[in-house]
Amino acid sequence: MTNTDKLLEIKNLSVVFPSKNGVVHAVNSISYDVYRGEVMGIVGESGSGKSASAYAVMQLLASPGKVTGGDIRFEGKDVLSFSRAELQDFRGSEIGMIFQNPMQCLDPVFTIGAQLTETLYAHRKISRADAVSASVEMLRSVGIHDAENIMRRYPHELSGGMQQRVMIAIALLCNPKLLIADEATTALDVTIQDQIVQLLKQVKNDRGMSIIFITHNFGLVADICDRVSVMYGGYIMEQGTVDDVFYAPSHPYTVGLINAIPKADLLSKDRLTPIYGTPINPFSPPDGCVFHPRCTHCMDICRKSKPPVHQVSDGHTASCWLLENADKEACLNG
Amino acid sequence: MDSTDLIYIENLKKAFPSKDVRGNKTLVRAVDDVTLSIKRGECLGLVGESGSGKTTLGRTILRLVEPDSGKIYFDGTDITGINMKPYRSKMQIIFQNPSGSLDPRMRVFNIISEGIKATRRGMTKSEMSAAVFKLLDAVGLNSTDAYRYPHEFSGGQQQRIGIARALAVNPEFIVCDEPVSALDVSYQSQIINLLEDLQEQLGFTYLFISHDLSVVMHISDRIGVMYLGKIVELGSCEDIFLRPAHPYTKALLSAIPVPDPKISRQREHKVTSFDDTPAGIKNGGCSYCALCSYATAECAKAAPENREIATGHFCACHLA
Repeated sequence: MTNTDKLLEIKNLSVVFPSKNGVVHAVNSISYDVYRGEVMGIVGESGSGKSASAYAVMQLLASPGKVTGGDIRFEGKDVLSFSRAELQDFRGSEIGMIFQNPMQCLDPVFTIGAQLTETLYAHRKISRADAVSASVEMLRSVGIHDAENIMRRYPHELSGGMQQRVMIAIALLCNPKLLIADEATTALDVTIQDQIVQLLKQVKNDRGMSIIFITHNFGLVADICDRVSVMYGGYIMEQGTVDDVFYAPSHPYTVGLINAIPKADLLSKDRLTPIYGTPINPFSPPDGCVFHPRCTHCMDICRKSKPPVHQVSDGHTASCWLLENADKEACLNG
Repeated sequence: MDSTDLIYIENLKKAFPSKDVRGNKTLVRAVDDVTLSIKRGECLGLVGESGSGKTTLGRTILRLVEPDSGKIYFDGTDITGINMKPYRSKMQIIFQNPSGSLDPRMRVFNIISEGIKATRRGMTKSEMSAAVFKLLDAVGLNSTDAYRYPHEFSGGQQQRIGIARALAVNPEFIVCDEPVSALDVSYQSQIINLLEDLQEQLGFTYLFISHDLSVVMHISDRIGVMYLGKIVELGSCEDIFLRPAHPYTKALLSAIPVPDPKISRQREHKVTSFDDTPAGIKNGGCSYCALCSYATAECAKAAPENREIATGHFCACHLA
């Protein structure tokens, strides 16, 4: 792929949250690219920094969180140097975002219609009639058949799945090039989750949009993503195509995550292999590799210094000292 | 009911008063005429979406929620309308939200020993400590953890404390109400393994409630699928996974994300026409018929009976 296919480039991004108990390094010098028309998955447990990295792109980090280093480029433009007005224009029209809890994101005192048209008024010079018809059209395209009726409803009158569809409609109204979905289906039932994921796939294909899909669910990654970054403790542990990461996982953490969930064959009663230990304490992350206290292959060097990013194959990287070692096969399998 | 059943419930009903959009009074039938048996030593899984009544069913069996009608038998004794005190120690519950279900102002020692004090009087202090330490050890915590407060633990460890508290009174039957839903993936498998080990060692009977079919499938012997207050299908894991008979079970199965990209790509996703689920059941027809792609005229008129379609495999569908 050429450079022009890159929609979003994130280089060595670091995000910190200063607090009275110390500084939390939520994101530590991570890099990833999002190409046009692809779905980039970011998977990790709570506190891994997966959301913070995406919020940084939108410059939506809650105070006192701030970007302390790195570079975010959207179509070559430096997002971090945007003025307030430029940001206002950028958010919503270039990048749309949907959040985990739709009920908390929709304003309870305005109708669905008012919230959809508001987005259009903010970004375009548009007449009321055009805004309403564009909104109705958009609701239809996210699978709400009874769109005119829904426009007059309030958020609490809709089910969770419907609310999330409305959120997606709002995010898509200005035709963004990138959609950030932050745990967009986590609060939904499994049948509704499947509908929303299929809907996202469909709008992505129809519009040639890119998606950053943030989740903790490995099953969803397999379903929707083209490439995936596995995050732990603010670092990207492994990055590659979905097939690379699922069929040739190269980092012990990825291997651990895959073994920890029930298999595709649900009748298998084999014991799950958990990842032992507890996630890092954000105020005192371990020295060396952040995963070493929970890693079954931990070596001396892992306790002392951070592993470099290792090129496993084309487009597949992992940060682990085992990969620097010739006996990595023996290590991972043994 | 036969002698192998530890729990047997018959025509259990529980409805909550509610209001619809226009402010008219309605009833939400959380548990609607459920008959179910749980054999001694088995793990019965209960799946369904939010609002299907699975949690209410679990709590009604323990009489934490009083049923409107129906009978609950524990080990052959009808426990509806009697003083539950002698039964509390035999039936326990593990809650979904570990931080919300532990008193933040109590140390772990007191959280765990409270149940022992209530049920076994006359224990000396050293016997009590020994009992608490043994429980902590059983759930994989250190004895020094006994003197810490719940907020000092991670979510997975808090859930272990919740399990230790349930075990403290030597129960026979435990309702696990979404015990892993609030936990991170790496903790989920730790807790599932722990529950399986404890069952093997101590012979518990579980009612395992979850919305995650893959977790339920992993831990359970039999599975009940709930939809709007009714158990629409009940059978062994093989029955449910390989021979699902109810359209809702089929929809659930096809919606589970499969952690395997190749299988996932080949999978056909049923494109269901999407309209808001009717919360109440209107004309006494099948509650699923509005969403069911196989629905016939009959489905809208009469609610289907729960029938045994194969040995031990029950389904409430006209078409099964």
